[in-house]
Amino acid sequence: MLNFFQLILIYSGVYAMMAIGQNCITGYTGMLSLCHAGFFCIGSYATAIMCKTMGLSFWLSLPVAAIAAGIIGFLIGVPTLRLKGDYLCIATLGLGEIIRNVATNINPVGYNSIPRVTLFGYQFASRNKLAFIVLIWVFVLIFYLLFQRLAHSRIGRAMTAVREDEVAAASNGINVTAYKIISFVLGAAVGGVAGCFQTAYTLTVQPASYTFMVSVMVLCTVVLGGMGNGKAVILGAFIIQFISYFPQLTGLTNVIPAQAKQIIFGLILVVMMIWRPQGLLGRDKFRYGDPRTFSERVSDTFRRKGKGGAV
Amino acid sequence: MEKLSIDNISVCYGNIRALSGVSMSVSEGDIVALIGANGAGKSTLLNAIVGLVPLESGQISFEGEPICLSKHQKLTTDLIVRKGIALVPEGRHVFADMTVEENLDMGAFMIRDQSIIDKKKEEMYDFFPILGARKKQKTRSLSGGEQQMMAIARALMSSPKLLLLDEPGLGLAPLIVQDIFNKIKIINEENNVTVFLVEQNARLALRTSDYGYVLENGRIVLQDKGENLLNNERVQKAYLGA
Repeated sequence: MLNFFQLILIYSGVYAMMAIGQNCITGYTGMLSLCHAGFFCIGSYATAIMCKTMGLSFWLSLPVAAIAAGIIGFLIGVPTLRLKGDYLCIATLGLGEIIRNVATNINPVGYNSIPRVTLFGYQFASRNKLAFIVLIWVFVLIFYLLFQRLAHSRIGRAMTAVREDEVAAASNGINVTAYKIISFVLGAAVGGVAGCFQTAYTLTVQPASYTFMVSVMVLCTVVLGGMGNGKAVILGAFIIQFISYFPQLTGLTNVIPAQAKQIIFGLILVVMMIWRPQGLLGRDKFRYGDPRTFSERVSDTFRRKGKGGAV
Repeated sequence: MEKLSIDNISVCYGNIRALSGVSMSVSEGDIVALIGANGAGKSTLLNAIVGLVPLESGQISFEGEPICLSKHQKLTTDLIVRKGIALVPEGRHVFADMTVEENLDMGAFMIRDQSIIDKKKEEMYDFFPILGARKKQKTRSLSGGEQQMMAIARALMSSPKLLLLDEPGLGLAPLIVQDIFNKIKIINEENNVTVFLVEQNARLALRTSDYGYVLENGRIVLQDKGENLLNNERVQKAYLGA
């Protein structure tokens, strides 16, 4: 039982990372993209190839996975980001499948027995789940903070404007295409890093794990938590992973078929869109044009907390 | 001095020719009105100026510098806007989920100095008191007239040299339209902003403006001083209902 909870924590960490990336694309900039599985796949394969075939360190493969996914994101983004709404969705869906098919054709069985991650002589073994939980969640926290900072920045502000109204954004001097691409590339890069950690934990990669369902699951995570809210998508990742491992967790695998989760995700998307389109936690409210600098804002937050304590 | 000059431009949407061989100029410090019926190509012309639609042929220059040449030789909208042209698009295009203040901040996206932004915002709240009263309110909850004023205020945040207005009176009560036109007149006179506006309400537009153009089926058919156009028989018949 504890083992299962730890497993869920690991997978929800990986999905939280992907959801942070998807949130940047869909939540902040409002582009409905469905190819996160593709970026996830590229990150995983980059790590597998670098660690197994080239014998390089995991820590070196981490930035490479991010950059590779980012570059593919850029290549996909430039032609498709002119499309809007459903058209973008369909185009990215197709490209996600292309990435998976290319991976299948390069190596149909994938890679096995990839070397383990080591850090200062400590080896992360798959049975030691606690170490992985710490490793992955430290990175989730880092990405959460980075993207939170991004959302508050000038770039985040421009992304919000693009999401709300492209014509208005352009007529206020915002380069709509550039910001869409920035957002897409950043989101793709985080998806790549998530793939990197997935490989580090499972030590195998196979094309079958990067299906369209993964993209749907990530989108579902973002919609369930709340688009444009960093905390919410992490919560969403927990809930989605808990639901998908629920049959194993309760020992009901005989009663509830594994495919049931696909039905549940579909239902979640539909139900959320009808009754709570803003997600469980809703959109994060930023105050743009805040004259305080980042450090001032942080110190103000603490000061306010300090005052509260005194009273 | 010519602020904006449009030289023999044509715009096509697929096979449909929206503008053919349109030439016009806007002098510095003037209010210039473009009137015409629905589908005459008025909005297309404004969108072409800021690069939202590509030119088939011809050239548009701002302050003597070409900004749009043809399909492949145009600046992107954001770069054109940065030269000092602000567009208030048709149907207002406000950021509905942002507050009035955030909308104004967006209008000042190109300005990096916060003290200038704050000063501009105060100016706008003085000029449009209703916006000052509603600054923390979501723009969605504003009335049509208030949204139009906010769209104008947002465009003015970047201190443009040329203000393009696409049907500022669209869907508003006559009294509100009058009010908005009075404001436009003040903006033009006091802040020395050149104004180019497109409007269905021909009488009001021509009365407010120094110079006017009449667009029919993608061609300029008449051009003259505002008051002369008001007295022109053809204009009276077609646009003023006389």
